[in-house]
Amino acid sequence: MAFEVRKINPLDLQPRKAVGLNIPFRSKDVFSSNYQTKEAIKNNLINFFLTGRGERYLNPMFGTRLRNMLFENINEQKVQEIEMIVRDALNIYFPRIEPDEIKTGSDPDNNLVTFYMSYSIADTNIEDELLINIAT
Amino acid sequence: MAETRDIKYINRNFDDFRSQLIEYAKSYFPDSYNDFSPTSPGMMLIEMAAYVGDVLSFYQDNQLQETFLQHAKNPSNLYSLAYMMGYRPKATTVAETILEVTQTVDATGVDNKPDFDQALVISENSTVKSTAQGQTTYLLSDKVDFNFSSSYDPTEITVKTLAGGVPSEFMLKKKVHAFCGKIKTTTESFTTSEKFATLTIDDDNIVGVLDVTDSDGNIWY
Repeated sequence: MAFEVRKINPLDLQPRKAVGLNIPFRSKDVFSSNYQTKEAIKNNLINFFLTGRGERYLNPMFGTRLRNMLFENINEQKVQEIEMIVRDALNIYFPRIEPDEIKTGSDPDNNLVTFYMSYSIADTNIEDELLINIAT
Repeated sequence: MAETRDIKYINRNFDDFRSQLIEYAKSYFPDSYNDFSPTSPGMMLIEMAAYVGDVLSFYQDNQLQETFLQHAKNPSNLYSLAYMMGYRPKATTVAETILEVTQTVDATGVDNKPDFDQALVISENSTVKSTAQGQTTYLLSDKVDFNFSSSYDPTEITVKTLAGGVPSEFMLKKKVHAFCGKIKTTTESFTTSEKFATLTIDDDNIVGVLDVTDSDGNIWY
């Protein structure tokens, strides 16, 4: 019987080996490590989406214009534009991430803009979702 | 005893610092950090450290460069290096002084204040001649404007004469920097264009060249 082979990052099998850092940096000792690829990727995505294009030294294409887009009037056209920006950026910097659903919404009464994305990672059984709330 | 670690001091630009820091983290912190993709927050910190190293290296190079006579760019460093090698410039210097310039103006009829409509403006480079023996000529280095007063260039106002208990005349006093010398003009003719043409001015005790203009009024540097 055929079965689908799933890859597991070797680091995920070594519970004492840290993968990356969690953001924001606000643990007791400033930095808190994460120990699973899933968590590391989620933090990398947050870091990527919250970095403005041109903000990173000697890496001007890193980041998205998402933060700027979120402060514009959210209509159907804008939602499509945001989705396109996100998918293009993911193709370049996170080629193994496959976004399933991308939602952008605003809550003007609470001065809040939200960005939601559910995604899976190719060749693994990792699925996760990301929600970024930006207070305006 | 402190552990000896392999740190190289010759890689001193952003990319070299970045790759050195990655290698350092891989070698000495293999259990603490393993995500070296450009999107990770840890790489952001590593790149920030590389950026600081890159900038500091630039200044270090710049400082070193300023210690060599053939590469120094800062004029004061160049002079210091030249003095160190025994060079003594033969600079022409002139006598300088601070002059007090006064003007008497009438009082206004309304509120007995100085009438600044009568205040004069003496342009810069005006000549002033000493009454002492030799009648030395001085040039004013700045404009004297009795209408203008500030903490940097104050106009002192005193009552000069009284008439019926009220001021009728005021004396305005300002200070101006003056130096001994004359402004002379020399004219040279050019027929064909020439790169970095050199002229010899046929005169003695030249302090400096104020400006160079051509017959069309263009200024040359």
